[in-house]
This record gives sequence, structure tokens and C-alpha cells, in this order.
Amino acid sequence: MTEKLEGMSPRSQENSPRTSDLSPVTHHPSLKLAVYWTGSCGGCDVSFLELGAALLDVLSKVEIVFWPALVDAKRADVEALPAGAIDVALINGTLRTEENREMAELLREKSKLIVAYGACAHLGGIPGLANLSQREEILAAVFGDGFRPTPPPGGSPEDAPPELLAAALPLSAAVRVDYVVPGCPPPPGLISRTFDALLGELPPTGHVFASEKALCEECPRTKEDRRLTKVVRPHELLPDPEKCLLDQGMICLGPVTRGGCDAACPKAGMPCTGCLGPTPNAGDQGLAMLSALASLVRAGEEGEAAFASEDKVLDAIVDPVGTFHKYALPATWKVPSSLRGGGSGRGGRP
Amino acid sequence: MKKIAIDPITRLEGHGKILLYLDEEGGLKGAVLQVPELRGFERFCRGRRAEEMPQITERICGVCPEAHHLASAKALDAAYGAEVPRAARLQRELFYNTYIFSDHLLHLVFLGGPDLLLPKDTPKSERNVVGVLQAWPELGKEVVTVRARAQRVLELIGGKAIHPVFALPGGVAKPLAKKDQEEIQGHAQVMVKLSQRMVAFFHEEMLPDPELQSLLLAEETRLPTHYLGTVDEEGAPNFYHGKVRAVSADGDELFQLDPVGAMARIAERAEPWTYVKFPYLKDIGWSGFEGGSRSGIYRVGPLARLNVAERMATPLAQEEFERFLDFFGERPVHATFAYHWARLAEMVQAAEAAAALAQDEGLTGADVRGRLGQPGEGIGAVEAARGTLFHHYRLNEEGLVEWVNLIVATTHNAAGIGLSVKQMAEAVVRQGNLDQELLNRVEMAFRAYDPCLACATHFLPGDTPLVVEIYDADGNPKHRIAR
Ligand code: SF4
Ligand code: SF4
Repeated sequence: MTEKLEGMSPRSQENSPRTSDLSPVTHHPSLKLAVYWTGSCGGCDVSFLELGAALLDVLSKVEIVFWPALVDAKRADVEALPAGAIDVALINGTLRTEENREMAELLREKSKLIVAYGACAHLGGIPGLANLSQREEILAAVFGDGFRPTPPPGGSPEDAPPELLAAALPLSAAVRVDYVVPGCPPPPGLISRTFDALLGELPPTGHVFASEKALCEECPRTKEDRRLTKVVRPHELLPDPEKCLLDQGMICLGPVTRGGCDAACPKAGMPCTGCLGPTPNAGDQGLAMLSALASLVRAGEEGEAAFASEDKVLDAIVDPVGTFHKYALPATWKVPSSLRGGGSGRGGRP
Repeated sequence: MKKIAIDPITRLEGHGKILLYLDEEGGLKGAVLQVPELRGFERFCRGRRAEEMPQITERICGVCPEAHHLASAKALDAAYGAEVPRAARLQRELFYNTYIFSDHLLHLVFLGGPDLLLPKDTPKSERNVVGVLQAWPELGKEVVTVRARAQRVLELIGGKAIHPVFALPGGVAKPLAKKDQEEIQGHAQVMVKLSQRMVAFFHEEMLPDPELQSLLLAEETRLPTHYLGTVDEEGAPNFYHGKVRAVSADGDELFQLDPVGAMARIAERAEPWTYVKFPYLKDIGWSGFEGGSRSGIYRVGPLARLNVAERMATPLAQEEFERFLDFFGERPVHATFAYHWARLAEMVQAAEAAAALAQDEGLTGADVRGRLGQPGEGIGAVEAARGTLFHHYRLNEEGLVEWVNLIVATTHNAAGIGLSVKQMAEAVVRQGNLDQELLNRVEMAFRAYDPCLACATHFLPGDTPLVVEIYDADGNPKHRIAR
């Protein structure tokens, strides 16, 4: 047998009161919290655990009303609540099915505040790349032609799996969103900031829990050249550990992406791909990056020569949509209403 | 007919609901595990840059992104014909064992744990991680802090703990710094310590519980199937590389092949009444949704890996493996709830393996990028926490993805999960009076597998499936998994 269990509580203490580690010294009125996933990967759900020991503190200050990944409350329990009974619902995932939208609407009705949590809810996220294809093409690629959701044998029509929406949508396309926590998934620092605010003083509506400045501002790499003469892909070059990745020819979205992750990817030797979304003044993140690249290429050249080198260098970029709109396609390219399923979406960005 | 819906099913990864159909007398007519979610990775991976695939496919699942990240990188190694330098391989393996530790720990305490760690009549509102933290505050606190250390290891190597960015075709992004190695060594030792405590806790506090004993040994939770998993040269489970071994329900070796060969032994069943293609062992063939040695249905994941293994790779895990075999007294072990115990034994191995890898001098080597050839086609496989994961890509000459096929852990298990849910539903319905506690037992049947429905639904094999229908002896549809 392995080592003894010193320090672990015996079974007789089951359901004993929380230790001081679990209950804060100052008792805060409990916040009624819901966490829900729509078309998501689950990464946003587990991101809360990245708080580590601080998670225990948060758990002691909130009452979890609904959170399918962790607690057993069911949809019917939420439906039974009066309007506004939940203080805050953190919703992650892209909107992909009718059921996703119904659940977003249900939680909007029952919650005082809705937070778009993570890149999918914020901008559509990586599953938003599906908007490059029509819904029918996606169904055909996955299931073969002619797929129709049908109920199980003996089941009634409402037992069929929900219809796909015509396109992947950010949360704000279906319901009013009060705050955004960006990132894929949100980095731990931003999560604690969010809980501090939710349990303390609320920022004005529309607040995005991340830096107002570009990622480059928090990146430790040194920027010198400010010129782009070639484009290299990450697997083609082992980058210099100290120098700016853009200076070395890698397409890093740092200049147009919000800070808040402590430049996680550039520090790991990889370019930023933009998961925290556009800086407040970048507008369309991908377009902003393209114009930033164009000026880096033209730097030091004039007239015809500038345009020629711009063409040459930028032509080397393959898959521009996947590169510049990896997380933000649904929020950037508004899906025409003719392509939307069901039709109650209101559209637009938070 | 009466319908009972468990919607959504909870404490798992991904969306699902269970529908139980009862006849007038209250007997079970059908049990459905339905997955109402689809994101379409099958389609939108096409056209992306190859080197982005480890980052894109990991968004299939945020609970096991590490598995997709490395299966993807290994498929790209093969597609570029690259030899991964030793330092890069060590980084990947250390990272990977740490992930297995962390993921298994998550399930043992946060997802599956509440069913086993709390009394079975615990009210629904307390049957969760908060309930566990209240009942076992010291253990809970330690688990949370040690898991944070493991996540820190993932971050030091992977750049980010959830959705890492470090793996590239032929290697990894950058060499590991000496000081990072030292920090990792400290974390890995604590991981081993916690594994030992979890083992002691299991034997002292959990296993003696008659409730758990009956879950482990009851006939309605026993499901004989074949098993598939990856082993090293000595026949011990290996999560990162090795040969894929299949063992029959009777315990005989069916094959032991590299991932390319193994993938060729798996066929996909298409039913005329559905769009589903369902994985089964080609040589045995398809005989409907049933277990047993004549059916081609097999299972993967912790229990399957222990069933295909001769031994464990590390000493403490080996001790636990022996206790596990003694308890069940049969091989293969067909008890579905043995998945939890197997998970524990694997968690120990992963922690010990991580601690050993963290000591390796080669870990900080500067050569982390293998030479890349022309892009082509490649298959990569790893053992994800939930079972064998295959990625198969075809790249064009620009290094863009042309075609993708994945077989994902939970997909291999979908038939087994369906059968287990049905077994449990039948047992529960026989007891009558379907209260919360009994309905939770139906959910416990799938939780044993720690299923990842996000993985299973967002990528079923090939250009695949959707509906699984299980017929009763009279050929009436009885059970259906749809997505
Ligand atoms: S934002 Fe990223 S981590 Fe969150 S659900 Fe979407 S893909 Fe997963
Ligand atoms: S560096 Fe960019 S892609 Fe990486 S975590 Fe930060 S914002 Fe996201």
C-alpha cells in the first residue's frame, strides 16, 4: 500500500462545515450564477479551473444555479425560475443550432446580466469558419446529402435533434449582451478580473474584460526593423527568441489584437492568431492587419516599387481568411438575412 | 406511452440528452442518448494551413485539446516525412503525460467523482464538485492546487494550458529553458505524491463502500466487448506512441499494428435507415448493436488500455494494476464501472512518467525542428484520455489541407456507451418509481466512460454519422444515438 492519508478528512466528517479556506472571512452576498455552453468545445467551461486555488474562493461566493458541465440542474429547473432570478449568466460557444438560440433567449430572460464568454460567444470563434460554406454543404460533408434531423423511433417530432442555424453566429446576434470576456479560452488573469467586477463594482455596460491596448504593448520581444520583406510560416523558421516575430516575417496579429493574455503565443515562439479580438479602434481585425502589413511592406519604398513589393510579399500569404479571420468571421462578415435560419437574430457586434 | 427526458445530461463534456420511452405498464420501450450539436469541422478544416491544424482541431474539444494538438502534429510529421528530434519528442511526451494526469484527475473529482464520493441519496443540488469540496475539503483543496501545477507544466511547454500552440510539423516551436525544466521537476514530483494519495484514498475510503462494490460487480453493468489501445514494446500502455493492440472479449490478441495498419482494421458501419457509419473491427464484422465475442463492437479508453496491456510502465502504477486484477479476477475486465479504477491506475502512470521525463537532460536540447519534406498524406495517433485518437490528413503542395478524417475516442465508444445506458435504464426501470436518484444512475452509466460528446459529435469517422439505432431481439428499434 502507498502512503497514509495524513491531513485528509475521514468519512465521519462528511458534509462537515466548510473550512476557513473555503469560506471567505468577509461574507459576500451570494451571486446567483449560471454558466452555459452553446456550440462550444468545452474549453471555456474548464477555463474556470485555471484559477487554481482562487477558484475555491469564487465558488464560496457564488451560488451555481445552472452549469451543465459541473452541476446537475436541468433545463426545466431554469424554465421554472422567475424572470431575472439569475444574477449573471456566462455563456460560451458560438450559436449553431436552434436549441443554442433558444437557450440563449431563455437565459437572457432569466438573468439580470449576460456575459459573452470566450471567442466563440464574442466573435463566432473558430467554429465560425464554417461560415465559409453553406449550411447544406456542411451537412453534406458530415452526413452525406439529404440529411434531415428526425426523432428517435417512437418519439414525437420535438425529440428530433435541433436544426442547424444557417450560419454560426456570435451571441450578440441573438440576445443583448452586457459584457464580454474575450479569448480562446479567456486567460486566467481576465477571468479573475471578471469575477472581481461581478462580485464587486460593475463596469459600464458593453465593457470588454481585456486590455484597451494592442497585444504588442505587452509583448517582451524587441521591435526594430518595422519592415516586412518576406513572409514565413511558423514551421518554416525557428524564430530568434528575442526579436519581434513580424520583423522575422511571421504573420503575428499582435498589432491589431487586444492585450490581456500576457502575449502567451509570442512568448511561446508562435505568432498571435488574434483570439482576444480586435483592439477598440481596429474595427475589422483582419482588414486592419492587412493594412498594417501593407504599410510594413511598403516602408522605405515609393511609388511603383512599393506596390510591386507589396504584391510580391503579400502574395506569399496562403489561406488569408483562415489567417486573418480565424476567430472573427461571423462577427466581421454579416451573414445576409436570407441565409439565417429561423430569423429572430438581431445581428451586429456588442 | 410515457416519455422521460433527462435534458441536458450533465457532468460530461458536450451536449446530450437522454430520452426514455416507457410503455403503459412502465416497462422500458426505448432509451435514447441524443447529441444535439454539430459544428462542422469536417468541412471547414479544408483549405486551412497545415501548421494551423494542431490549433484548429484542438477546438473540437477544450477538455482534451492536448490530444488533438499532438495527434494532429503527428499526422503532420508523417505528411511532411519528418523525423522529430529527441528534444522535441521529450517536450511532447512530458507535456502529454501531464495532460493525461490532469484530465483523469478532472474526471475523478469534478465530473464522475460526485457520483462516487458522495452518498447516493445526495440531493441533486449538492451532487457536484461543490458538494465534494464540502465533504472532503482537504482532498478537494489539494486536488485543485495540484491540478493547477499540472496546468502550469502544460503552459510552460505548450504556451497555453488550454489550447496549446507549441506543436508544429516535425517538432515544436522552441527549445525549453533550463529554468522551466527545473520548475517542471518540482510540479511533477507533487503530481506523483497526489496520485499516491488518491490511490490510498480510493482503497481506504471508496472501495470498501458496498455501493461502489455493487456498481463494480453487478451483472447489469458488465459489458463484454473487444478492446483497443496503444502499448509500448514491453506491452505497457503508452499514451504518446507505440503499437495499437486489439484484444478480444475472450482475451486473445486480435492484432498489434502501427496506427496506419490499425486504422485499416477498423470499418465503419452504415445503416440504411440512417446516415451513420459506425466503427467496428473489420475482421470480426458487424452483427448489430450487441456486445460479446461475435460482435465487432470494441471499446477504448482507460479500461481498454488496461485490458490490452501486459503490465504498466511504472512501478506505482504496476502495483495498482495488480490490485485491480486481483479484485476482478478475470481478464479482460468487462465491468463498465472499472473505467474509473483504470483511470486512477493510468493517472499514477502518467504522473510517474512525467516525473521521469522531467529529469531527462535532453529535454532542453536546442534541436527542436526536424527536416521537412514535401507535404503529402499522413496519419497520426495518440491515446487520448478517453481512448485512441486518429488524425488523417491529405495536404496539397502548398501545405494546405485538402482532406481530413478523424476517428475520435468517444466515437469508438459510442456503441458501448449506448449499450451501457440501455443496460442501466433497464435495471432502473425494473426498480420502478423513477426518482432523481434512479435517473442519475442512468447518467452514471455514461459518465463511467467520461465521454466527450463535443469530440464525438464534431467529428465522427470519415464523412460520417449521425444516428445509431439499437434493436431489441424482435428487431424493433430500441435505442438510438443521434446527432
Ligand atoms: S472560445 Fe475557444 S475555448 Fe471557448 S468554446 Fe470557443 S473554441 Fe472553445
Ligand atoms: S497571443 Fe494572441 S492568439 Fe495567443 S492567446 Fe494571446 S491573443 Fe490569443
